[in-house]
Amino acid sequence: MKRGQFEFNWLFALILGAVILFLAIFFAGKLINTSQYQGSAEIVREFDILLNPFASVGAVGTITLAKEVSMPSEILINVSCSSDGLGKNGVAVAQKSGSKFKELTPEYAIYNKYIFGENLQGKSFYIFGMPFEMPFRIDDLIYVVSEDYCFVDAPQKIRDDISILNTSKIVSRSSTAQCSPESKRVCFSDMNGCSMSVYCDDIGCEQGTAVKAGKVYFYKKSLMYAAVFSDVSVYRCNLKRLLARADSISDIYQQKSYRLAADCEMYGINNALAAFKSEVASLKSSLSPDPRTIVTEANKLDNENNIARCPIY
Amino acid sequence: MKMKMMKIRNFQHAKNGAPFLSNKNAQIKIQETAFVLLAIALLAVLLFIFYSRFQVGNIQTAVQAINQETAKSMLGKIAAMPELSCSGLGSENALCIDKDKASILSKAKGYEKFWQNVAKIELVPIYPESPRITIYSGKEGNATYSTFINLCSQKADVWSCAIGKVLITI
Repeated sequence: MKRGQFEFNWLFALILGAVILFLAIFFAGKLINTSQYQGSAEIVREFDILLNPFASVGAVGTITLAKEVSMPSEILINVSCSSDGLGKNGVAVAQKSGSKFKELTPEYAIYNKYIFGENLQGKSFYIFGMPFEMPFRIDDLIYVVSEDYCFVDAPQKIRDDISILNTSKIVSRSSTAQCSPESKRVCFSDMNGCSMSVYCDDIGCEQGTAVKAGKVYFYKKSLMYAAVFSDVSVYRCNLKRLLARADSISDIYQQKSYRLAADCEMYGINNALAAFKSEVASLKSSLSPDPRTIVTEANKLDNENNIARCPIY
Repeated sequence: MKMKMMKIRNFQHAKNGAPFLSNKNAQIKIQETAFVLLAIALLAVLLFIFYSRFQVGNIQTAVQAINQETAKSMLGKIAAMPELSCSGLGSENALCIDKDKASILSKAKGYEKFWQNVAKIELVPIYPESPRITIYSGKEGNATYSTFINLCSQKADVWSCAIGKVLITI
């Protein structure tokens, strides 16, 4: 074999070897990324399914279900919201690889749940649900908690809920000094060192205002927890979605009351329902809806329904 | 004869300015190399096709399993929806669907996306038999899951119930 030929063979083997090696490493990298991405996509869908029991019990006035959920690996969950029509929550997940999180999956739209949560990352999440009624049941609200929360100087009814929840992630203390330094401090009276403040209008904290990055209003305890556990934009958006849902359910009750009108006197309920619907419609278009403004109409509707011979809900 | 061959060789020498035999060997080498490259490329393509088929199969199985779970969990959820539940029955409304509400909901607008990933939802009264109510009908489905449920309707303040089934097609 001549010297030129020998050199060509070596050069060819080296170049081809390098190309094959490069392609192998490149595709192996892509393969790992794809399988992680596929894993994250499956986690998003399973997360949606996992939330179903928290929104299906429909118990009145209590916590529907509370569970600590562990994931196979540390994940980051991003919850977004859109209030167009009946609206949707968008959920995207990223799995941790080494010290940082991989790329978020494309947003998976969840149209039939109301998810409240912020800064969700970790291996275990505490999830619980609570029904929202205004005055009839709209749906169950789902709270996803990954950080530690310390409720300071909370009213007795809130302390009772916390003891039912029975989790280390949400505790009740009488002063901020008793809270762990990493926890988010939710204060129910004016004091220093709070992450956010909740001002209750009544003893049961059924109405009030919550202040953190912005000011939000709540009506019913379930919305108070929603304001605590989610960021301001998701809270406002989900509240608009709930109002849109209340509007749709009102339509169904209105149609049902027309059907019942042949046998029962439905005049009072129909009038109250129409007034309630118009309040809901105007509140829905507000930038920062204050659900306390429909309390009067909601109570009127509830009274009419309670005294009616043929109640609609 | 030998002389003739020499002449031919010399002629080739004169034409290319390079030895004829060495040139032919190089050509064979290049052809060999090209075939090896082609074989490697073909092998890579075959491996890629095999791998992508395997992956597609895996993904389809995962999607099927997830859809099945979605349908099953939806069966549990559907009776608790305020749009369908027998809310007027108070605390006895568990696992009961209001037939009147269901027929109103089947004509309601805005709920198309609400039934995400579901192809069809139907209520079938079994005893006493009556026409089925299609709450939602969207795309074509692959599999149907069902559960028994009370189907009730309100006449004045009296409720009458039938045994029925909810069918969810995914």
